[in-house]
Parts: sequence; structure tokens; C-alpha cells
Amino acid sequence: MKIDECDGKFVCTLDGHFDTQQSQELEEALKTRLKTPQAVVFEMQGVTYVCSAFLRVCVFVAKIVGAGRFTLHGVTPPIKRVFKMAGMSDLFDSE
Amino acid sequence: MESKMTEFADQILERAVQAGAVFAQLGQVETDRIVDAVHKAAFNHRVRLARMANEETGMGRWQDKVLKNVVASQLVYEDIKDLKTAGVVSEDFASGITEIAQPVGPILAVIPVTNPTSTVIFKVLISLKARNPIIICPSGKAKRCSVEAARICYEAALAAGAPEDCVQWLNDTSREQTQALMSHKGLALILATGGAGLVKSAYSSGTPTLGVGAGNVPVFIDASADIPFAVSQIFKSKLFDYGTICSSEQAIVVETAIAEAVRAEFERQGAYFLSPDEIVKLEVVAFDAVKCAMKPDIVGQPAALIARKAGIAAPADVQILMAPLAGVGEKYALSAEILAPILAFYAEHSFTDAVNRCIDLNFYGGIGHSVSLYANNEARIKEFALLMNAGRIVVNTPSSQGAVGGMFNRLRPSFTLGCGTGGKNITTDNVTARHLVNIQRVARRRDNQRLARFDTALYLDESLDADAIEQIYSRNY
Repeated sequence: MKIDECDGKFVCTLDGHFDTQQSQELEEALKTRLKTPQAVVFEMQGVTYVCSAFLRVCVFVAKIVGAGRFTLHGVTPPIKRVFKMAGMSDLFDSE
Repeated sequence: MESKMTEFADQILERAVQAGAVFAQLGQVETDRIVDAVHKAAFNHRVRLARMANEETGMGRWQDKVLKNVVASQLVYEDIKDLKTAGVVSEDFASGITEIAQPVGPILAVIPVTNPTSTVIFKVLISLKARNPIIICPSGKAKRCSVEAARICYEAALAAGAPEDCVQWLNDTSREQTQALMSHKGLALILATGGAGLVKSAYSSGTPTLGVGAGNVPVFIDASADIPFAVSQIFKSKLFDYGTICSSEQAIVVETAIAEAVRAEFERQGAYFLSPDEIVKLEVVAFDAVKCAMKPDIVGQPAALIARKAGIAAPADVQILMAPLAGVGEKYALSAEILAPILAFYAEHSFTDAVNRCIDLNFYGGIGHSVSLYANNEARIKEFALLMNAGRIVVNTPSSQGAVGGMFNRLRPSFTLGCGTGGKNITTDNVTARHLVNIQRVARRRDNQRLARFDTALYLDESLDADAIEQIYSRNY
């Protein structure tokens, strides 16, 4: 997990099996640094699994930064399906 | 008013309940004789009924409606004729289980305007096969042909020994009357095929319902597919009855690497690709933005007629109107289900993007229904199938006919395609006669050996965990 901030935009590069511990770390890191309104991008290309805590982090980020400022980039079909099934795909833009 | 409704429903259900009671006395041989007679009568009237349906509704092509009637009569009959639906249907000494099929009782069959005679034939056949009386509730726009189909089936059934009133139909039905029937205590089951509102009201009635969900079928043409073949099959399907089947293709998704080749093949076979301005014009005539649904007057109409209506200068012999789109959802009206020769078209950078687009389409009004794939790469077929939420994933097959079953694959031929819980249905099956029986199980004593040869007092010892118990159970003495 890598978090970069450039031009007021947070880019979080995530990978692998994204479990509860990593989700908590991500949430903590964003909680302290995220200010509204600020664009956030999750680079998801390398993510193979997401746990429920990660879905909650997504809800948290979407609430903080507001509609249109939260993007999931590089989502693979299996992960896209998780968000569709969870009814969460409207919370953010996916590219 | 309410008492009139109740009286109306009481009269129909009283006759149906009595017919059901008499029907339950018949055995398999007598039942099969009735089903055979009904399928033959319906088959023999296939052309007249198809012409009537086409003339009355103004939808589709009568020639294709003939084939629908053939599927509903001949193919459905061949599929169900050997099914055991009366009395003891299975006995197994080892398990001690004997299964007995009983009729579910009176069925209300809601008939859609798009398949008004074939759906009647289909529902009558599967209901009678299970010894259930059926009440046909036709669409207001297809009453004459649906009632005629029901009458033909009924007369054949009666002549073959079926009980009186085993098939009833409603000549003039208001929404209130339909609702009174749906919620009547004498009704056993609703076979609901129709618009989302009607299916929802059937589910809300409190009577068990086998309904269908809406479709929005994406078609992925993989780079491994034979493109001219794939396009020819899509034409065969989308032009079948001018797209009135809910499993007909709605959007074509390809990778950019083959997009030009696919587009050229579509054009060669008679498709017309719309400009952005023409897409806007087509949206106005094809889609009701307020209701968020296709406009009924373009359903089952030829592409040339729809183009003229929209003021689009397509060639006079245009077969399919293609709309290249950049997204899925409310902003892109033509990404929704439209039962006419109109297809959305998406070119995506990679296989992953293409599958993601299919997921978007699948979840935009078509969850659980059907998806289509053209590929000659088994690994991709499996990967694609695992990611879709669809009762039917048809491969290298026209999806209209493919999902209905029986013609191009061995899916059960059916005009009621279950969409699973995603589509608010109880099954993803192609609904047929076996869904219309209650199975009773006679369970003879066969002691569970795990319990019989084990000292069950050991379960009370908290110090023994699952592994320890298993070890004791498996120990050789």
C-alpha cells in the first residue's frame, strides 16, 4: 500500500489480498490526512480480494470527499462484481 | 366495487378449484394423453395463431411467431412428455425415500403482449402436464389471439378427457380484477410473465409466484471468435420477431483491436451505425425518460420504420440500428433494454475493460437474466461466465432463441425464464412442468449410522472437540 499526495490529490496504490488490517491502516492514514473537498484515487489494478472493512473504507472516503471526487482506477472484473453486488458502485467513479 | 371484484374472482376460482380436484384423480397415462392432444391442436393452429397475434398487436413478424408457436407446442411437448408428474415419481430403496407428485392447484397465467399465443400454449401445456387447472389472463393489447389460443387448447384437452374448466380465460379484465384473482385464497400459483409492474404486483399478492425479471443482455465478442459468424448469429437473434424476446441482445461489447472488423461486418450484413446526433433523435422515439423504459410503440418494429420515425436517414433496407455509446446508465438511454432492432455498441481497450462493461450492462436492469458470449477460448468463456449474474450464459448462439432453449442447446424450452434472486425470482431455471408440482416425500426409517453406532453420551463431554469425536467415530475396533 502506497499513498502519494500530488496537486491536492491523494493517490493510494493498493495491491494483493486487501484484508482487515490493511483496511484499518488505510483508513487511519486517510483519516489524519484527508481534508474535504479533496480528490482521492484508489489504484486497484493489483487488488485480488477486498474484505468488508475495505468496503467500509470506501464508504468513509466517499462521505468525506463527496460525490465525484472519489475514483477507483483499474478495477478488475472480479472486484467490480463485488462492488456491484454490494450496491456500492454509485458511491464513486470507476475507470 | 370491492364485493363485485370478490364475486368475480370467487366464480372463476370456484370453477378452477373444482377442476383441480377432478384433475387430481387422473393418473400419468390419462394426463399424458391430454397433453399430447393439446400440443397437437396448438401445433396444427400455429400459423393461424401467429398471424392473428401479428395482426392484433402489430408487433414482430408472423413467420417468427409461427416458430415461437412451434417451440411452445412441439419442443416443449418433447421436453416434458416423459416427465413423471402424477403419483409416485421415484422410489429409492437405499435412501428409503419415495417421491409423490401432487398438483399445486389453480394457476393464474399472465400473458405478455410480445408472445401472446406461444406463452398461452406453453403455460397451458406445462400446467396440464402437472394436472393443474389454469386461468389465462391475456394482455389488453392481445386479447383476441391469446383467448383463441386458450380456446383451442381447452377444446383439445376436453376431447382428450380433461376435466371441465381446466383451462379458463378472461375476456375483459381490469387491473382490479386481475389483482382480485391474484390475491384470491383459492389460487395456488401465479406464472407471471410481463412488465416489471405486473410481476411486482403478482409478488405482492401473497400468492406464490414464478415470475421473470427484466433483461438487458450484453454480448461480448471475444478476439478469438469467428466475427462473421458471430455477427450473423446476432442478426438471426435480434431480427427474430424484431427483437421482442426479453433475452434478445441489447449491447455489443468488443475490444478496440477488433472493433473496426466487427463494425465493418455489422455494416456489411445490414446494420447502420448512428452518429451522436442520430443517437439523440433515436433516444426520443425509443425511450421514455420519465418512466425510464422503452416506448411501447417501437417494440417489435422493423429498424427502417423506427429510423423513419426518428428522422434518421438510414438506408431503406437497414436491419439493425447501432448506437456507439461511451457509458451505461441514465445518461445513455440506449444502454437500457429495448425490445426492437436497436443495439448499443462499445469498443473497450482490453478484455478486462470489456468484461467490466458487460458487468455494468448486466447490472443495469438485467440482473439474473441472460448474457451472451462469442469466443473460441474455453478459459475466457469460463472467466466471463463466473463474473456474470445471469441464469443463462449462452455461448456462440443467438441469445433470443438460445436462452429460450431447445433450439440451439439443451436448455429446457421455456417462455418463462427465471432470473434468480437478483431478478427477484425464486429460480434461475427455465421454468417448466417440474416447477408446477408439489413433491411429497415418504421417508422410511434408515438410521443415520453416525448416530446409530456411536455413544451419543460422548457429545455431552465438552472436552471432546470435533476432531476428537471424529477420531472416536472412525476408530477400528
